[in-house]
Amino acid sequence: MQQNSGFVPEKWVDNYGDELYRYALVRVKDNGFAEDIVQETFLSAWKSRETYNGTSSEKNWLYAICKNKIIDHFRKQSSSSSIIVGKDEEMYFDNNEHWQSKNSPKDWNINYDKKVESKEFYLVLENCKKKLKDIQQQVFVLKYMEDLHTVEICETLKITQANYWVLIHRCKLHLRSCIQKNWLNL
Amino acid sequence: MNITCLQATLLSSKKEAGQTSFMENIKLTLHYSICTGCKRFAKQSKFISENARNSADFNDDKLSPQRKIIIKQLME
Repeated sequence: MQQNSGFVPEKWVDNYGDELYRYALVRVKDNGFAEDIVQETFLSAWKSRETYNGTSSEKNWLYAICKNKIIDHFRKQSSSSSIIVGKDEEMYFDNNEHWQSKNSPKDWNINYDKKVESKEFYLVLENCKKKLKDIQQQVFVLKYMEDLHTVEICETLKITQANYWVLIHRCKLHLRSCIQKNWLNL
Repeated sequence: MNITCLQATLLSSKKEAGQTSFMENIKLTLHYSICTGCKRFAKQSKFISENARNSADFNDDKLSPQRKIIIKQLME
């Protein structure tokens, strides 16, 4: 085992427990799952502590394990063949596939290039994400929060590429509309 | 050459991922020139996905003390 001052398993829970919990919490749907993921992360790391070779920092190493636990969690949740049901698109478009006038995106009047620093935005985003169907939320997290490749996402969630794009589209329709309503009150 | 708003919004995600063809890009550009709604959709949904990864930084929840104790015990 590395006798390295930057690797102190006895201190992990105190040093990283809260931040890994937050990392998991904003990615899964409930705090019980997030707590389980953090627990599994620390236990896996503890069991394989002998294999830590110092190529990444202790912190990054733990984050990488946590990321894998989240992907595993989604993999277990996805049924053997996730069927894409419903016609969510009908909520936004008319019979000619054009925006329903009441649902056409409004002018947000914000600077789109600036990182959002308002806590309220992220609170609204979390609540909007929770309203998504599980499979939509999982696609969103794997793509936009974990940066996984399309192929990897399709394998993890057992969906086809065509379904993948339908799901991404639906996530975006729902999230954009929910944020417009609840963050900007438009 | 004309596409519907449903098609344009679907294509916009593919474009964001760099997975559109030359022809699809032209169709999209043409559509945006006449459709404010779809232009806003592309901008706003990109904005959401670019900021989503910051979520944990703006959350101040903590792992429960009970769970911390359990984990520490399991690690002994």
